[in-house]
Amino acid sequence: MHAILESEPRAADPQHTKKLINLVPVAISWGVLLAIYVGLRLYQQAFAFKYGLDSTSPEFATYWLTLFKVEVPLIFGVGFAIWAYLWLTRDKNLDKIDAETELRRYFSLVAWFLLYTFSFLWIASFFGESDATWHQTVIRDTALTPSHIVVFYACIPLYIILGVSSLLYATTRIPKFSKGYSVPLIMAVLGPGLILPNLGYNEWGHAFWLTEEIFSHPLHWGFPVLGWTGFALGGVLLQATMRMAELFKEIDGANLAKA
Amino acid sequence: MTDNDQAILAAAEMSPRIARYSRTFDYLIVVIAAFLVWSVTHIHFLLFAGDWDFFIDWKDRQYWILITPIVSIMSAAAFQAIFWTLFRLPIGATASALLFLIGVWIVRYHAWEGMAYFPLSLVVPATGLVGAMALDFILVLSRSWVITAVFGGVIYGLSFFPTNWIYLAPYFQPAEHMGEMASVADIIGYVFPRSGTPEYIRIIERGTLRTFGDSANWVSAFFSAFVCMFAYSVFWLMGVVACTPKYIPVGYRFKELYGAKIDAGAL
Repeated sequence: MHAILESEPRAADPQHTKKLINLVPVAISWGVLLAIYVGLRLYQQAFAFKYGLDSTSPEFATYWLTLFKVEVPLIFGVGFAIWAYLWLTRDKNLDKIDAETELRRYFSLVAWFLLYTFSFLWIASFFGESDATWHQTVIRDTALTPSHIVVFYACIPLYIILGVSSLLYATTRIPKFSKGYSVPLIMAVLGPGLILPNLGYNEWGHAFWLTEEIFSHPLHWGFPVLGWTGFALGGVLLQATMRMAELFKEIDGANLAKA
Repeated sequence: MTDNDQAILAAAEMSPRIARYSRTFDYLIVVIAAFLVWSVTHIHFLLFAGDWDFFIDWKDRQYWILITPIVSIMSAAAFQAIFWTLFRLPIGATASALLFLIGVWIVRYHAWEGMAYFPLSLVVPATGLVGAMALDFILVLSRSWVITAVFGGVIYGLSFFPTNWIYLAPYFQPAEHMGEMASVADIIGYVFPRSGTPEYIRIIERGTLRTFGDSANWVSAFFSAFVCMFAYSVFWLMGVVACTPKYIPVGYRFKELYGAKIDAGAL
């Protein structure tokens, strides 16, 4: 695969000597995310059933509450730093960017989506169903179980950070997204993001209605309904494709005129 | 570059360089689409029909045959709508069923068996792959989502239980239990009395794998096929609506903040 494309160099314009897309940061980020997810899974394997069955035990506090207290501020702290960076370094001259720069930014947006969908996959598929294995084996005693501490309070914040970063990147760097809010992009970011507040309803229901975990119980339907908003990413890709097709022609036309 | 490639580029009015960019974009989209289809299909199925899929002894002739196709056709239809209306690719349903199957097997192996020590033979997942392929097949032939809903929905619902029978059949082998003949499914039922199965809606019988079979299977399959037609239609339309490329105008203040140009006359 031609992972890295080289723009044709223009001596007078150093902007165009940059790569059109650089997948190395994506690969590194995937590696970091993968290390986090695999690390959490191994941690569960080692300590979930050993020290995670009784939330009142000192071992639970040592092995699980500590993880919870570390991961939440750490993940959100990194997230706020990324969001602040994206906002503070925004392009304040969006009307002056040329076609190649805009095209490069569309590729960067696609790179953000590669990270966002990768992180969403781990909660929606792997750790999401893994949560069922815990609940079908152990009756919950609090909202903080070894399964929840991983799936709800580590995996969900991670994809929220990447989703909101995608949204921020688009609105602050790409003209089309700065002039109009993309409805599908907002749906695709905010919908899955609302899964975190939906936990409030879920945990309230489990605390007062039923402790048993029938996964297809209506109490859980908020999660998949919010997950449906992921369909809207197709609309965002369509918006990107439409504009990129115009940019392709524009760049080709400019090159022809030069020749 | 072959003559054929050159002819295609000429027809598309693209230079080889731009075609290379475009192709790279295609590759990236394939990866994003695969992650998206996989994750949305899995979370959707997990929380609407997951329990029937987790355990072999929950695979009954009453609700498993009914609910699994209805729930799984929803995401298949939405992804068909997205792939077909936006990109003219008749692969949405098959991609949904296949990626879900891959994902679910990974979890069954790593979490169900690997963490909670359930034997894999007790947590075998179902598949709607055959019905999904039929859906894509009908869509590409008919080019109509209505025809696909009517005929594809029925085939999807009806084909689910026969195509899953292949891995259920071994559980009905005869086995000796305390001197009496029983099936493997019976023995699973004796060992795991399911006090937790949802009794509140099981009026006629308490469905488990033990009672799977007989004409009641087909009653459930036909009912499922009937509902599949409507589930397909609703989710096809949902897929189309979700992918409408709409923009809401940004106010002047925020436009300025984002770095876009404001027309002096507009203020």
